[in-house]
Amino acid sequence: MSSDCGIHGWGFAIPRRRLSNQAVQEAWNRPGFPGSRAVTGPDEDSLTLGMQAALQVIADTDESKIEGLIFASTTSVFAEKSCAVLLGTALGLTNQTRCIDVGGSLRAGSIALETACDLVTGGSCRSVLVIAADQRFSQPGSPDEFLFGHAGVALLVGRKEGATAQILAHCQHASSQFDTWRTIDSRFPRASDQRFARQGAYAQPMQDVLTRILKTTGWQISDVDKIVPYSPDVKSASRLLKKNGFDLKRQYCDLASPQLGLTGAAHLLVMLCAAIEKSARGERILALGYGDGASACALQMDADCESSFFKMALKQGYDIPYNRFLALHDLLASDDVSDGGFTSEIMEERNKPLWLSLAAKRCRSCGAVIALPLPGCPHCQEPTELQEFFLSRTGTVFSVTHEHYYPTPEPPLGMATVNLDGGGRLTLQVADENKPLQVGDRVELVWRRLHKAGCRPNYFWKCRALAKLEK
Amino acid sequence: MSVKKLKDQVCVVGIGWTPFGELFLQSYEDLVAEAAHAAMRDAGVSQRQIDAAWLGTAFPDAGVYKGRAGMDLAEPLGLFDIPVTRVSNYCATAAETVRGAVNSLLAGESNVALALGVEKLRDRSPQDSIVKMMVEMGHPFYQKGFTAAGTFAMYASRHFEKYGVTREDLARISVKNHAHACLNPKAHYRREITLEQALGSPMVADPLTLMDSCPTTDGAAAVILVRTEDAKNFSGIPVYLKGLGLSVSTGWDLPFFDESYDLLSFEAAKVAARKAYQEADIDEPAQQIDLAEVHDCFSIVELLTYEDLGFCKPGNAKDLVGSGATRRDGHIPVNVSGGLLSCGHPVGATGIRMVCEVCEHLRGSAGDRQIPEARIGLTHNIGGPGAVAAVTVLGKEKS
Repeated sequence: MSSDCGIHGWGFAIPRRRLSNQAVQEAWNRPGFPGSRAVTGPDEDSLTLGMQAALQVIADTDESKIEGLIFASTTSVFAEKSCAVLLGTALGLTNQTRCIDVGGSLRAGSIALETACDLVTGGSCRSVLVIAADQRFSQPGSPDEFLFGHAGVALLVGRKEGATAQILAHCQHASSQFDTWRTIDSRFPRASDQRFARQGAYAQPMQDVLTRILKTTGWQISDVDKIVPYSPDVKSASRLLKKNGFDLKRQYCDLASPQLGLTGAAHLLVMLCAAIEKSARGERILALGYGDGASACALQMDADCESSFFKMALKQGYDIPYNRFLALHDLLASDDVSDGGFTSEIMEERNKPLWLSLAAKRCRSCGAVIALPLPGCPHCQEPTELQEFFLSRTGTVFSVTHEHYYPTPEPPLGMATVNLDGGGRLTLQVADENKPLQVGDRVELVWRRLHKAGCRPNYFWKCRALAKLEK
Repeated sequence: MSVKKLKDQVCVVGIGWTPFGELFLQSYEDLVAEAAHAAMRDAGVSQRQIDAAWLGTAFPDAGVYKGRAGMDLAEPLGLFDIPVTRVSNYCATAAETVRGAVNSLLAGESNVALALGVEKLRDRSPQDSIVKMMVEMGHPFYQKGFTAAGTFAMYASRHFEKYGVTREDLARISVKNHAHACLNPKAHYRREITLEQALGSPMVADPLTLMDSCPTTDGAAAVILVRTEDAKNFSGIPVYLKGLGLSVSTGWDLPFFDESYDLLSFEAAKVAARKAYQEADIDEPAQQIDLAEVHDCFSIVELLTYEDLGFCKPGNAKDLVGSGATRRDGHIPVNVSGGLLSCGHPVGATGIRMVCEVCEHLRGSAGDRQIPEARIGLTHNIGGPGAVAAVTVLGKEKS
């Protein structure tokens, strides 16, 4: 999507405390890599970081023009209450300001930026203040402990006239995969098998938005002066860039990660603003965000940048010992909520058609409907073609039992083999079973949680008695 | 090329099985040694004569990872420098060891083969062994919620619906097998139960109760097999292998996710029986077979197996139970040992334990529970749930 807006100002909130990777490595006696992370003190959180960054922007802005405020975070302080509204009020914006909270994704920051572009380009707001801040913690001793840092960032998006950097175009790619997640009742994000996540969840969507943004802008790879990609680890982004023929030395611009760690929803915008501070008029910047898909944003500098907020913020850091960091944030208690045994995000990805969309397979040759991920029809001796077949969500109980020894919150656990209307069979747990299901009962399928293996909800279809209209 | 018929070419010359039960003081290795030594003694062979061996353990993960490979048979015996192969085929695991040994003998690879099955389940509490395996190790969502009992309960529910089978019909099987076991000193449970006790026992997966379900049991069983022409060189009374069929006829999940399955019978058992009967010239199983050891992991499985093995027509199994025909004094005694319901079911050992039981009767050495004048006996296993089955037919004489 092309856009008519630009970035007029920005500000950073980088916590001053630093935790060196070396301190963590020594504590756990294992190898790591150099660098440090910015970490919050006991009185900081995503809201205070957001406020700090926003105040820096507001300082030299006519705030009457700000008609929208978007706050992005995966670690919002409130589950119910708008941080955007609170920040808008605190910053003295009028109560006609459109305030939006964006959360739930590592990509929340770039989603906020894109939404701001659309609001300005579409004429809904003269300018929009985008604030992104995150304070993600990792399980002490876990392999991703070296990854997460804390930061806030704010950007003022307005019409392109007078902007430091013009936003030329942006695009996104939404796709759900269990690569990384944090449930509402746990403190630490979890991650699936790394190589699996990098391949499917990272490389594919990132490649897609990169290809599309280049097409929209008409840029060649070599036209890009600075590429600013989110990288969930040290290697993923450089691998993507190399594959696409970028000159890493000249074009790859990540001033933030080695010193701050990955700062969640704020990270892409932190990297982007830091890059802007290093750019001169006419330079072209490409920012690639990641999380539940990917997004791309193409910018061109319209003025030489004279500020160096980022450099200044980096200079203020001081190291704190690891034990103090753990104590300040009470990180030693486990938040493992796993139950239900084995699960695999990799396996789930392969089974996605059935577990999300009830897409089974039908044999073109014999017509059998198979609700299993089989490569061919088990009834035909020859290889046959299978076509997608969407199962219906109603059916009849063909057989049923109740498991009295299977661990379940409301024993016994009903299990039913259901022949579905229109073809196909599933064997499922019974939900909402007030009265025991019997053979011949009509049922409907409902999408429910099966267990919490792997510290995340594992969903699948269950069946329950079909609601009947009384005559 | 037509397939060579097995008939009478191989015989069992040695049998040995440990008592079945909660053998807390015996390790996996102890069980291996006890069964193997008993079978060798019975056959009159020294360990040095064994030139190939098969080890059957279905669930090494239920214990301490013993039984993952042939070495776990070789090591406790010091049976080294010969091929030892671990096989696994769910509840047909033990039958698979016999099949491996038979084929090796027929191919001329070995002259004296040991087939041994062992399962050590009670290093964990019963809820922790096979039930927990289904909870913790199964697919994240396919069949999640089932225990073994539940999968077979689905077949029971269909029999109730289609053929009017009742809980009493199932309970009668349990009562019968418990009564049989009182005469078997090696059975896990040796206690008669009444129909009321069976019906009143706690529900496991309806309609199956605790008394419809086999217990969690340790045990091992072994046989020594040789080519019939060599039988004279051994002291054990030979019992002839007349037919052996093994079939995989579906997968673990398929019957529950494909509406073409009626959940009334096990195709694998029918196919395995057809092959074994053909080799053994059995046309009328109910008349020709003098005793059968069938896979009553749950009572419903014994019931529907009557139909799968052709002891009666589909739908008539409940009448066969009711008539008493499958009792020890009936015309086709089934599970005179007490079956899995009373002997227990150390999965990898069960099929060989059945072969040992049938051999005892055919040799005339079954003691109090001897079926008089038994000439032809059958063993049957079904596993996975219903995907794989094995049937063997054993005979007292060469035909």
